[in-house]
Amino acid sequence: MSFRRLSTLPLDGDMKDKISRTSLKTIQDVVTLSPLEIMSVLRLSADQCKGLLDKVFSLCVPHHTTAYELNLEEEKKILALGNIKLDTMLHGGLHAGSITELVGPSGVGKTQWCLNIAVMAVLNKCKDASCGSAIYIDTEAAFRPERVVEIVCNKYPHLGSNVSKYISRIYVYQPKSVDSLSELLNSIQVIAVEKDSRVLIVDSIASLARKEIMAGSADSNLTRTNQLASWAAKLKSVAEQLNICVVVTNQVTTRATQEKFLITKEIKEMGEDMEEVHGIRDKVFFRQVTPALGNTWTHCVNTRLILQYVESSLRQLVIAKSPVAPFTAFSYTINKSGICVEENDSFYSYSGTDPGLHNIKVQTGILL
Amino acid sequence: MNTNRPLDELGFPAVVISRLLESDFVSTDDVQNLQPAELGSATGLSLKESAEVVRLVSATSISEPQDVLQIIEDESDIPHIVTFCEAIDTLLGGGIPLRAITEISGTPGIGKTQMCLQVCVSVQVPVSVGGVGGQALFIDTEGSFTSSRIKDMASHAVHHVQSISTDNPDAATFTVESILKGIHYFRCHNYIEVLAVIRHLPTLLQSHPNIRLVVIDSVAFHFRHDFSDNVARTGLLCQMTHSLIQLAGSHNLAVIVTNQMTTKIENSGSSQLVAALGETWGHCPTLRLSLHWQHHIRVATLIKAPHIRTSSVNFQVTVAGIRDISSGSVTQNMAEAQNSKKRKWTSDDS
Repeated sequence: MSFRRLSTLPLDGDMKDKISRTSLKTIQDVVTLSPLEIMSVLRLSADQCKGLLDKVFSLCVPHHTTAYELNLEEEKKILALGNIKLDTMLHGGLHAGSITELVGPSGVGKTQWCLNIAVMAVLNKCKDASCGSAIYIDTEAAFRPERVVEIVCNKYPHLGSNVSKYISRIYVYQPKSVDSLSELLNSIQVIAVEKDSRVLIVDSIASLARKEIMAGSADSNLTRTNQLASWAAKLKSVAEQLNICVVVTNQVTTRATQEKFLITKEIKEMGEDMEEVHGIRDKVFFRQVTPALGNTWTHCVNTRLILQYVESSLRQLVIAKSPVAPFTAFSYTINKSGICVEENDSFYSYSGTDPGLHNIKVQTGILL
Repeated sequence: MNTNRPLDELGFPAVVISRLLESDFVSTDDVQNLQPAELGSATGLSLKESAEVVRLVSATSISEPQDVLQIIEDESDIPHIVTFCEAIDTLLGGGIPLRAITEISGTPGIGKTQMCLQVCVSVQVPVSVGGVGGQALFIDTEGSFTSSRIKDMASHAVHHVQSISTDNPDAATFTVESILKGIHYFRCHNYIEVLAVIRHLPTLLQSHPNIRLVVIDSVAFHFRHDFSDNVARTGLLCQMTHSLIQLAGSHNLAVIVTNQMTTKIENSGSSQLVAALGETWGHCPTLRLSLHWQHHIRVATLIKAPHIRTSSVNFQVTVAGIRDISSGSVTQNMAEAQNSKKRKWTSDDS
């Protein structure tokens, strides 16, 4: 609504004349000015100005609904992950209109989860019976079509020759730079409407941002935070306005924190905890693997799922931030038919850790 | 505005009138804009007399101030919205107060949205069982509002209320459905929509006079992202808070805003987490509650309050909502977490 042209508003002729003589074109142009500025630009009295603002704002008020109505709609827009326990924990699966982040060390299975989600999106009917498509934005050139075919064929062996019908509904983009990803996200809404998508996957959001905009100096940190925030805002609006699921993957980073640079008390305590675990009490600093991209980004995602190693073949999914689920861990393995979550090997707890500082277990022998 | 009137029509004592006329103060216009001391020195009236004249002539709309005793009597019946976590209620002096703005800040995933959802449910607890019996308005900027989560919390709240008052007629109408229907929801995609909803509030409050709680979750999201100009942002934020404070007072509302955390880099190179939106914003909320982790326990710290000593309490987020950590469950939970940590996250690197 904020982009609506002022000339289309039901205003009286005199006011329209005044507006047409200025450079104000849209509602947004007006409301970013202070009332005083509006009065001086349009030569209005205080009352006229208030009247104009009232009118303009009343058009911007979003749709009014209640939790009751939302609850009736909500059930049909959930994308199940395909495991009963996990889906129950997440109140049905991935919720349309929100951003879910998968974060984990290299090789833990982020891309596998993404492929799995894409397959679930095109194969599982939603409640209103239409099968949607999946948009897959691959920034790491890690998308392997033959793996998709393998997952579909092993997971749904009865499909036979119908497979091609389904896999043709996974659309892949491979942007190579920050600019091309930004450009793609600018027009993603058009694409998602045209392709009737249920899910938008970005694998990964971190790699381009980390590659092109080096963190370190305060300046580049700010640039990166702003770039990520603008992507997040675009992803959020496409998720919400088209009512689809957005899944992004994120990488991990190693924090080396010296005692005197401790950021919060909690880290210190976690640090002591770790020192005990790793037996490095005599060292001045400790290392910790945490999700990359920082605190502001963590605020942007609605659900954070951490993927980590337990043993070399056993991996773990941790629900670290969710509006519906407590702190929960599931074991999973990767096999021919995609992701296999172990039904019996899970626990949940009402206590937990900061999802931004969660110490992620990486593959033994590679890091730490 | 004030029509010019002769001073002798206003019913002052004869002595005062004659003094005024002697000094050539004939009509109200002559006295207008004078302060008592100035009038006194010009006419020889005492300060008390001239103050009386000035008050009557200027016909000011400023009313008598309230004395402290009055305020205490007025405020003793300001209700609080309970959070279902006794420790937090005690910390806040009885719960989230009406007629005030409470800010909840904290790191991602700590439970800000959960706290908001909980209060949306508990504001509807009937008056007869000690609640406020109002409705809630939720302004969602982040898309974290989940009605199925509300349903969880609502069914536990209903169960609790029915267990403490079995034959109360109010309790019978307190159902999951009534709770869901009592939460009004706006999803705002940019800051203009947030401002528009706040401007639209008086109209909405007229058609839904039962609303006792307005939640903005989060105030930070759009205001952090949509602005390159910090001055414009602070200006709009201040305008917004101003209208919220006014509405809170005039419509007897509790206002809750959530805020994100940001990393502040000090000159020395060290950094610390602070609530976002800057120092000016920090003045706006009446109460500021900060949520953070301490080990594996969630902690709420009151960092700003006009009347309560700042301190910290522990809480937890359960299926039922925001709850106390009873001493038993702490150890149990900790043990559970640590066991599972040892069991599942054992590292081979030591």
